[in-house]
Amino acid sequence: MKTLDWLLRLALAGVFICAAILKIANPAAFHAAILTYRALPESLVPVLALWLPWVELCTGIALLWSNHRRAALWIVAALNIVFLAALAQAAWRGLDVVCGCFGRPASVRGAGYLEYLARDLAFLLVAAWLLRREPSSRQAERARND
Amino acid sequence: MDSLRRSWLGILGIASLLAAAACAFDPRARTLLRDPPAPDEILLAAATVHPGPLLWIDARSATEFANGHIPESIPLTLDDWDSQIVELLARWQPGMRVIVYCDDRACGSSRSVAEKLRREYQFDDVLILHGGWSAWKKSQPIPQPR
Repeated sequence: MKTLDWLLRLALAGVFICAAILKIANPAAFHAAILTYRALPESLVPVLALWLPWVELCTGIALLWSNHRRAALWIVAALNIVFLAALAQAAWRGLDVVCGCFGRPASVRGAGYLEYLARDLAFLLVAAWLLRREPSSRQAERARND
Repeated sequence: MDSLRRSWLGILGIASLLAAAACAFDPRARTLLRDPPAPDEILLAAATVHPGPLLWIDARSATEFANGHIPESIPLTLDDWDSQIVELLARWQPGMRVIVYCDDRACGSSRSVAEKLRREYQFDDVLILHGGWSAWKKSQPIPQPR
């Protein structure tokens, strides 16, 4: 089971680090993608487009660092809830959006939303599973003292 | 709980510092923050990832158009409106986004053409390319000498 946890954590970290690097490399494309969701005031979009990829990068790295793993998993879960909400509102409003998930522009419309919703839900479930398996800081401290 | 909070603050704090450093050193990031597009403008990156069909309109002079233009764009100026609008009407289809450009941010011809299309032809999805032809030229790779 520990191997599975390790593999899932590595995969999640890989996804977050890759997604972040691709977005950092092309901030204008990510900015443009966020605009298509029409969920935020336009003045906030540049700030989010410049800040979020770095959060993803630091979170991805922290997932591989035992001291910060639990906090990183909470951030992964929170980010995926935000991504799911953004996608769901766009699907509900019938918008044609650009995912912006991995830097490369991918248009999402109609039934295409299901694939992206399913993917983010899968990441959320992986984060929840790993959080359940991860010892809390108190348990970890107790284990160290024992 | 304290260590979890410290980890969260650490991850988000480092991400914010890195994002601020990127804004300080990356000219593309500074452009996004300092020169955001007006509500009826679209960034080139957003235009190129638009999921639906696009129609580019070149609102510069005939000479400038002849010297270079965005591929498949149609020339349309207020001076030659009656003769040039024919091609636009022939190519336009419902649901198509129209993007008008002129030389750069300072030129006003793209705005005049866009307003006329909205007002007199009831085109509802007409935007202006932020930065115009200059932004397009900047985005193109510099040809290498053979």
